[in-house]
Amino acid sequence: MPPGIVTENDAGSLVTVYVRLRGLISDEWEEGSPPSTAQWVDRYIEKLPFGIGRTVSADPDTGLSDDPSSWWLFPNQPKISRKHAIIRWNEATQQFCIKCYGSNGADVNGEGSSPFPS
Amino acid sequence: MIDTAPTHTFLFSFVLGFLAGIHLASGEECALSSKSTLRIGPLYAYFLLPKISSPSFPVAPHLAPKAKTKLAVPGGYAAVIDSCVSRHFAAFENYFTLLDLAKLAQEDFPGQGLQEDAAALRNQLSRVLTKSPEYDFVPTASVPRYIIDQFEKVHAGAQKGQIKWFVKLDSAGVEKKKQRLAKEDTMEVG
Repeated sequence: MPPGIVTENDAGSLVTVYVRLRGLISDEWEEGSPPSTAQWVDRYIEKLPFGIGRTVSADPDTGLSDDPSSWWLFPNQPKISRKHAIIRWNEATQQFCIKCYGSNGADVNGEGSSPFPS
Repeated sequence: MIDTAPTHTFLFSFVLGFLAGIHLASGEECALSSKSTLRIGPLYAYFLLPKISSPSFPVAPHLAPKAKTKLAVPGGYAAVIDSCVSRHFAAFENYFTLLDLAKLAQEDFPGQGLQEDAAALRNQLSRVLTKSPEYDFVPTASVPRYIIDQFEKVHAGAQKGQIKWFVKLDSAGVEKKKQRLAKEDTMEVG
């Protein structure tokens, strides 16, 4: 497993955290800057592999479980597939990887204007 | 608990990350780094790897180093051990060595008399660990290979045969250790 740190989750339990995903959600990115309604969201990855999608579903190929703590869920976002992407730790290369399963694809280090304040 | 303020470091990382983009179609995979950003539908997100002491990964307050702890007060060395183990050894899954512990204790508790004699410090920590129900010595053979590999990356050239491994016990282990300590106390009294 990758290096992590021990911290406290929302339930007050100590957990090992491997990754923090932090960002903004909005359907209005085309305007180039985040709308005032967009809010910062955070998700700490405590379990690997980790799924992003609309619903939980086990994935035997990657070992992803249907435990909700292994998922970041966006149930009301039609642009996100039920199983959209899986983040896993590649032991051989010692790197995190993301694999896309969603029909709308995913961008990593995507080109374009930043939606974040500079 | 969750730090919501973006840092300059990560905003800078974000800008770097946007210089070269990859679009993943369904079925495609790519590696990530701490400079990576993701866009998935309406979600834009940074991908942040944990670093010890990073402000973006705040450690629970009760795990923060007790820098003002005086070793003369009750629980002095035990507090040093608890703080160092809890704060630093997630990557080692609660396995640790005296070498690690002493080094971290010296770094985290400046001015506490820990810098004077490394060997004496390791002996003192070992004595506290031996008597603590929370920790126990484990043979190197029972330590997972990848944990030892990580240790060797950090301590190149360490005399591996002389490294003693300890582990932070789970609740069942704590009970067993308490029973063993009670038994040893009885024998000593007898």
